[in-house]
Amino acid sequence: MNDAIDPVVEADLDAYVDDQLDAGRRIEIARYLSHHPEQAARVMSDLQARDELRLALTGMHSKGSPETSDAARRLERGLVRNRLFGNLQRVAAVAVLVGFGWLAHAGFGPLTISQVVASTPPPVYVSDAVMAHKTSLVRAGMKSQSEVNGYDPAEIRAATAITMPQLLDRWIVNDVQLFPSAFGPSVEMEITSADMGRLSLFAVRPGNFDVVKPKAVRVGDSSAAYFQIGDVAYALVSNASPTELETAASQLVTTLY
Amino acid sequence: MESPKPRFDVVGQLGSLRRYARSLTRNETDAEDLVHDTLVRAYERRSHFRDGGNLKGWLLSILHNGFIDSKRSSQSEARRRDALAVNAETVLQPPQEHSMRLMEVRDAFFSLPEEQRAALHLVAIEGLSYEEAAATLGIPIGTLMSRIGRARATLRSLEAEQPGKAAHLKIVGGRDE
Repeated sequence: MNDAIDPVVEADLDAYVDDQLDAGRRIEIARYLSHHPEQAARVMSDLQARDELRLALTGMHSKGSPETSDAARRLERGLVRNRLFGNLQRVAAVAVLVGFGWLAHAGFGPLTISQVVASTPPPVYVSDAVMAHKTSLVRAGMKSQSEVNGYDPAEIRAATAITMPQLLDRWIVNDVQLFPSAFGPSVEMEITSADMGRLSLFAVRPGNFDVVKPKAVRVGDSSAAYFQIGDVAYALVSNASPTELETAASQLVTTLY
Repeated sequence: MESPKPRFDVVGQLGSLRRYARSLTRNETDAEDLVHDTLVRAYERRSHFRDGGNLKGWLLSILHNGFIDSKRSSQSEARRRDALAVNAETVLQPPQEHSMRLMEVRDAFFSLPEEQRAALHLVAIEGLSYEEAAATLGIPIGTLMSRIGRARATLRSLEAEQPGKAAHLKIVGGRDE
């Protein structure tokens, strides 16, 4: 009696039992079944088996272990942190792209009319570093955001080919984060200093080769000092005065040669 | 953002994960271990999870792969599991209501080959679409559907073997006019 069943129809019947059909198709199948009692019985028995199976498997009382619940919550936190990290990546990627544009602009500056405009506009690249700095302040305030302790410049260089400057005395590294970017990994460091409060040191690959001497700007209520050596650009951001930052940046530069 | 629940409701998926793990391992203790391992693996691979992706499908597929890996790594343990499944009643207790009938259904389900069990579970118990289930198992939809079809056929034939049931089916078959 099963010979009469068309293979396509059989797949349709399974899909009907599995609730995979849209309303129109479901009505067609139901109409077909109303004229084929043998197959209708089969479908009903499949539906019964499905419901019984659900009951048999879902009704079992499970005594989950606390370790499993802990692992689940840890994963939840990890995914949230991941999302935040993803946003930071976007900030960093924007910073790199904009930084590239800015540095390219600075590089071509002498050839263009903007040279005539005497004052250098504050580079957008730096304001993105400031944004990353503010995000990291938020992050620092969150308990769930574990910070990475232990700053190993050699390891960073091995992993990213970015040479980090030697930090000044009494600067304490709170956190180091790596970001992927179009031209290779970039680094963001959170630093606590005695005289300038919380600092962010941002090292990105702008994708070009240049040497830019330290220069400081005021961006909103933060200051940023930036410089580039070779193919890595650095930005130092904090709430201290631009002059202080520029001095600090100059000291950092000397450790890179 | 749009929901008052946690953004990534992993705890809310524990029920589904435990059910699927039980269907695969057929053993309560192994199932709990498998779920735990799944969460640890997922944590390690959390950067692979795309924001806005299907959390349940992602976790179920990690669980499935974890099960396959552990089975591959210890065939002897798999044999031990099969031996355990014979007296699974002592390990897994369905609710008292209809318990005889449900135990039969569950045992019939546990006797299916693992790949058919996995396919049928994801679609019939967890209510995944064919597309989602196929993606979770990493197989084409056609393969998934044929596994479900074979699983159903086996369950039906087991049903028909039982005395009383077969006669009942014949009457409905419309041959007794």
